Amino acid sequence: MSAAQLLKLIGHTDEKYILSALNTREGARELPKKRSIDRMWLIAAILTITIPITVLAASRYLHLTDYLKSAGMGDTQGVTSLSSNMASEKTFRNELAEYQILEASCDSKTVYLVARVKAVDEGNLVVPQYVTGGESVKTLGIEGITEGTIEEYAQAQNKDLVYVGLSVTPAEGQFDGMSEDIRCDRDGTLYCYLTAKNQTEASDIRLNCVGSARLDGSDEILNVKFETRIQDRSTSEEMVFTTFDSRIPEEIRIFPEKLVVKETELGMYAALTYRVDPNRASKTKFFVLVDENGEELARMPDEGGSFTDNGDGSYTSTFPFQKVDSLEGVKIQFSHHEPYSFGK
Amino acid sequence: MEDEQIVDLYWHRSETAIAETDTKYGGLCYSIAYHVLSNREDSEESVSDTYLAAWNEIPPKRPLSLPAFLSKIVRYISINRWEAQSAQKRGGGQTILALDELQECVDDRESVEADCESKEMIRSYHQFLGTLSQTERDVFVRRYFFLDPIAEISADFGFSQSKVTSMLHRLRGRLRKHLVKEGYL
Repeated sequence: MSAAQLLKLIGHTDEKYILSALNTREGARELPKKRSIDRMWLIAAILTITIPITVLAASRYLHLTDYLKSAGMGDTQGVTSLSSNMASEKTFRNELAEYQILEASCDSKTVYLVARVKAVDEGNLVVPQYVTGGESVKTLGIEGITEGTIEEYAQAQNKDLVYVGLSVTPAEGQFDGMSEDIRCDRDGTLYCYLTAKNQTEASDIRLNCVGSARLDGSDEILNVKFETRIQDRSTSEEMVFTTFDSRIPEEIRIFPEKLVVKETELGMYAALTYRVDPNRASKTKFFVLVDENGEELARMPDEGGSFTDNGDGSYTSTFPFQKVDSLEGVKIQFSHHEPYSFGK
Repeated sequence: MEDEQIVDLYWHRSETAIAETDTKYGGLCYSIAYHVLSNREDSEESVSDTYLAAWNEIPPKRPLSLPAFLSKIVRYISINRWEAQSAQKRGGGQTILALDELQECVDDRESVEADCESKEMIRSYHQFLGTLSQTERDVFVRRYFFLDPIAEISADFGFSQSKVTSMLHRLRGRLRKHLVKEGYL
């Protein structure tokens, strides 16, 4: 056994011993000041690899454009132009819940979907599968309902809880990460707002959907599978920037190759391709674009950046943002460093 | 915010889980990473990676102790990062010193990685920790888990540095005997 292996073995120290030693620790002293972690980058990274769920404090159905406006999207004209109203499509049900895709809008990078989930039996109350009955009813965000737990709310209405979920995956290609917001209506209807990074190549995207439901107290999960289609009718333009501030290699320890900004009706997608200084341990480097005043350009709602290992020694980090009139004067910023200029 | 509430935020996939973790345990994570790496930017990256790892682990995990859980992750990530860098002779700090000290406990033959972190080996290591007094164990864990400098350990326990140094020397000797007895050396 080597000393390095022993050091790793010690990493398995029991948590109770770690805690005991931690209690003797006065904390870090004389350490170089820790910069605060940039949470937006962390969130950007997280959003690309997980499926975060946020239950919004709202209680009525919002059309997709209104939802995106409420989530911070300034210009929703592009969303409208690419939207498909699918409310006339049929509903799908298992024994406990009924599912219907209501609206969709997508470009080559982003897919937005709105779905409705209702209880089949009026004696049941559907809630997202990610909550528990013991939680405060506030987490459901139903207008005017703030007291007690979800269980108590269901009992007061003489209803049983049914935990529901909806998964959506493309039949070909993939979505790289999906976020989902749930809005709960007073009548017990759930509205799911799904946002996914579109990595499919097709303009006619076939989606496999699975609606799941589980009655409280039961282990049995009932599924219903169905298929729907959405169309990518977007057009796009690309701008390529290949000159960068000469300080970047020294200060950020990456060597940018190009910054490509793709503009569609929905938004703008910046992709920075770079190589990494061998002295840099981490290959990931997230960034944002800022305006002339150093203000970060508004992100697309529910979307974070992503990171890709291109397999040829280069890496690509992306940042989706809302449309701007002109990219003149826009700069790139890494963490807390000063913004850097780039040009064509 | 209480740890349980922070863990609940992870379970509910609330992005504020990261912010609350950073507020409460950012300093702890950073100090562990810095002791391993001795480099500010690398330490910050390790802390960021730790939060991502926590986000991916919780759920399904629900750690009994959030600081201990985070400490293990950041130590693991930082040591891996240190190893990746050591070929280029960067950084080191307390890691180099701790490795020099731990050299006394081992025969320095590289074993199969899986063997050194097998359940039996971990059980045996915990058995060794169980034979120590609480003070001895705390000092040992401070030095070789947290990689805290001897000066800091001395100050926190009110011991002279020479007392901590000789205590650690004795503990390493006992660990070596234990590893020999258990057939690992």
